[in-house]
Parts: sequence; structure tokens; C-alpha cells
Amino acid sequence: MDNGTSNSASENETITLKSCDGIEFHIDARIANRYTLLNNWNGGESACIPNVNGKVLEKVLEWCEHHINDPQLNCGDDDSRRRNTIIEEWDENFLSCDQDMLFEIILAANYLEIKPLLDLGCKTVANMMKSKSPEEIRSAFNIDNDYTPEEEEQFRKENEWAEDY
Amino acid sequence: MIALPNECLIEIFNKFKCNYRDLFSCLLVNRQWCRNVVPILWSEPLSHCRDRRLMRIYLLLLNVEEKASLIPLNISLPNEQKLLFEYMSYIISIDYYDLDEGIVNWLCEGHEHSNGREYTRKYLEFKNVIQIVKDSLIAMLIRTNKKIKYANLQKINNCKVVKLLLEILYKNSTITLLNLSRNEFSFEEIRTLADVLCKNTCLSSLGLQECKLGSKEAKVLSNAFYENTTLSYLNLSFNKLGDEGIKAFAEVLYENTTLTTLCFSHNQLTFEGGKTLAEALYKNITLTSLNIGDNNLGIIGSKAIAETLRKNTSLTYLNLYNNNLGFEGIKVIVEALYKNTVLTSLNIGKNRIGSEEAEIIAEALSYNITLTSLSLSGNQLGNKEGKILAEALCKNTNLTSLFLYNNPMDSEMTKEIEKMLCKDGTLTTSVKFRVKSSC
Repeated sequence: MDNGTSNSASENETITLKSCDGIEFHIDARIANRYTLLNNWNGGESACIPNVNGKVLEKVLEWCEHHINDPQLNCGDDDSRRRNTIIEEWDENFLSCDQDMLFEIILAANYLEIKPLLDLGCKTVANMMKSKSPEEIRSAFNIDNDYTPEEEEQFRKENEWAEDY
Repeated sequence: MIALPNECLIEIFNKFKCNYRDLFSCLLVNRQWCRNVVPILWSEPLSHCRDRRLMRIYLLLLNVEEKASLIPLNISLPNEQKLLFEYMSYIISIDYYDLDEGIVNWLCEGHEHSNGREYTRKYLEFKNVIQIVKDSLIAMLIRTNKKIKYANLQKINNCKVVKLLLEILYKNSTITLLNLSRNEFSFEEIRTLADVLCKNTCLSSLGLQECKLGSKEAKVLSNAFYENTTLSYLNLSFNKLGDEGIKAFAEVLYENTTLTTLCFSHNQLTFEGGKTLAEALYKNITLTSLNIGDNNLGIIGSKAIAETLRKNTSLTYLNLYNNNLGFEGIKVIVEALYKNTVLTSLNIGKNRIGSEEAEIIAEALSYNITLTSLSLSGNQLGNKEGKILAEALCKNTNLTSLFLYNNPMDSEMTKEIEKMLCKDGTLTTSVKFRVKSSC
């Protein structure tokens, strides 16, 4: 496999990625170059990305393409990035898809180690939970409550100090 | 909902790191969410322990022995109850001071203080009780700890707690930053601490200020630094190490290649200690920061330090505040700066710097020496000296901070100096001063 795509990859260079359901995408080599795991599937004839279907991969690649010129974050920025919940307008529109797609994107970003997209997806979900009660969160995300009433009450009591901060 | 793996959930909950209310809601959603929220929610809860509900949880976790010392105090303790999680095992930082307010609130059930003055009154009223409760809580926190990185354990004053802490450190805990200042350790405890330092490979920073350590303790402690390879920051300020104690550490510096910061301020050091330390710094190339402020280096000591500054290529910060440097001392140190290209920060405050010294300093500044930060606080710099400095700063492009607190200079002059620092429009520059109003 030619890894000479490194930093010198030019704009015209393209590579081919295949989703798990067999859909092919021809993308700018610089994208694959930026995210190691995308690069891993670059090249081989039957190379396809397991676990990510065409619909989701298309979204993920759309995001990568839009952000191709973003500065690369280094590890030191991790904490500030984590705590900051501000989302740019383009990203907000991009992620105002249906909930299933949003979670699929998070899963794919996690799987493909596309950190900034994972971060963005998690921020979006966090913003959807903000200032909601547990019951509201459950109904917003269609989650079952598997606590016994006694257990729930005890957890509430042991952690209720947090409610005021 | 499509099930997200725990690692993604954690990523989401981490967005709420400072927002406990939202974390609390998430925790009550279901069991999977709870398991992922608890470690985040309980990583740094101590700053909230003024809350009685949180203090209740802490008190619930005391074991029989820790509770025993509270019984004579006749304070109310929560009824025994098994908790659903080992909450304490997630704590990453403990600060002795955080517990005070929580304990006061616990003791004054239903009469929570409304203002600072009332709190202080209650604090003083219960001072002894607070200390005992605090010792028990700290013992519990140390005993149950699994993740603690930062521990501020000033003024423990309880040999059992000290013993427990040393035992845990000996087994190499997760603690990296440890502050044990204002503890009065016995010689035996210092010896054990030295043993700990020989073996522990986690600690990177240790504070032992105001521990009444003398030369005997210094010798024992310093020996540990022939073995230790992780500790880079050591603060022994406000002790009584004396020249003998400093000498022991100076010898260590010939061998040790881990220590980067040493603070020996206020330690009865004279020219002799200064000399041995200076000589060691010919050889040592890892120390970057040295604070020997509030000692008595005098002229001879300054000469030794100056000699070192001409050759040393690692020291970037040097504090010689209040050291009786005198005109000669200032002169040799400043002259050495022409030869030195690594020192960026120098404090020569409170050394009776007047017009003669100011001229020497100004000349060096106009020569554009490497310094980016200079403290001249607490000296005798008036308007005349200010003018000399301002003129020198015209030609200087390196200095970005100048400290002039407590000098008999008026505000017009300080403004002029500030203008000179900012002349090229770079707003990274700052002059910090307070003008003596009485002059």
C-alpha cells in the first residue's frame, strides 16, 4: 500500500472507500490522510469499511470534506474542547438530522476515530439533554427505565447534593 | 434509541463536567447511564462538601476506627446504611481546606451561617472538633482512594493519619501532587517519608513548607533524592534548613537529574549555603527554577551565584528576594546577566536598591539582556530612578513584566515606564506596581 499520500497529498489525488453495504466513495486523499483509520482502508480492491453503511459513511465524509482545512487539534486542547459546548452554524445544520442518524454518526466517528466529529455529535446530544429531568430525557431518547423504584430512590438520595450545582 | 457504547456515553457526559445538575438527571435515567455518570460526578465532589447531603455520604463511609474518635465529641452521625457505589474510589483530588465548611455546616444543623463573619465565629468555636472530624474524613479518603492525583493535606496534626498516608505512598499510590505543608512531623516520620521517596515512582511534586525542618531532617530527606527519579518539584520554604541542610541538597544536585524546581526561601541560608548551592549548579543541568528568597546571601553569596549564572545554561527562574545583596551583590549579579542567555525571570526585590543600583540595572536593560520578567518590588526606587529605568526600557525588547510594588515612585512615573514597555505596541507587556501613597 502506498502511504506516500502523507502530507504532500495533492488536491487531485483521490482514493476509494467502500461502505459495508458495498457503496463506493471517491474522496480527496487529504481526508484519508488526516484520519488514520480511513487511510487503513484505502487502496485494496475489495477494501470496505465494516460496520458503517453507505448512508452514514456519506454523511461522515461530507463532514470531513467540509472541515478539510480546519487546523489539527493537538492533545493539549482536549480538555477545553470537551467542556466547550458551542457549535458552529454549519455543523448545527449538518447534525439536525433524525436522531437515529445522529447516533449512527457518533458510532461511526467513534469507530473511525474521527475525534472532532465524535466530539461534535456528543455536544449535540448533550445540548439535547440540558436542563431536562430524567423522565424528559428518557422520553426524548426513548430509553427504558430499568431501575426498581427503591433503587431509583436510593440513587436519588445518595446523589441529590449534585442537583443544586 | 440506538444503543451507544459506554465510551460514547462517557464522552457525552463529560460535556457536563461542571454542570452537576444535568449529570444528576442523566444518572437517574437508567442503570447503564448511572454506571457511566457516577465516576464523572464523583471525581471532584469535595469542593461541594459544604452541602450537608454530601457530608452525610462522607460520614457514612467512616469505618469503626474512624468513627471511634468522633464518639466523645457527641456529634450526630448518619444512621448506618450501605451505599450503592464506592463513590470515594472515583475522587481524583482532595483538599484539606474544602472540608472545613462542610463540617461547620454539619455541626450547626438548621443554623447554617448566612455570612462570612458568622462562619468565622462558628469555625473558631468548633475549631478543635473540626480538626478531629477532618482527620477522620481524611483517613477515610486516603483509605478508600483509588484515583487520587492531587492531595493537599496541610496541617494534619494526627500521627495516625500521617502513618496511613505514608503507608499508602510507600505502596506507590496514584498521587502525583502532594502538599504536606504546615505539618509538624517527628524525625521518625521524616525518615519514613524519605524511605517512601526512595521507592515511590508516582509523586512529581512535594510541598513541605513550614514543617519546622532543620538540618538533621534535611540530611535524611536529601538522601532520598539520590534514589528518586520522578519528583521534579520540591518546596521546602519556611523551614530551618540552614547552611548545613542546604549543603546536603546541594550535594544531591551533582547526581540528581529529575529535580527541576527547588524552593528554599526563608531557610536561614547564608553565604556558605549559597556558595555550595552555586557550585552544584555548575554541574547540574536539570534545575530550571530556584527560589532562595528571604535568606541572607550577602555579598559573598551573590558573587558565588553570579559566577554560576555566567556558566549555567538551564536555570530560567531565580528568586533572590530580600537577601541583603548590597550594591556589590547587585552589581555582580547584573553583570553576570550579560553573559547569561537562559535566565528569563529574576526577583531581586527588597534588597535596598536605590539610585546607584538602578543605574547598573538600567544599563543592563538597555543592553537588552535576556530577562523577560524582573521584580524590583520593595526597594527604594523613586521618580529619579524610575526615569532612568524608563529610558533604558526604550532600548529593551525582551522584558514583558516589571514588578515595582512598594517603591516610592508616583503614578505619573509608573505610567511613563508602562508606556516604554508598550512602545512597540505589543500589548503582551505589563508593568505591575503599587505606589506608596505616603511618600
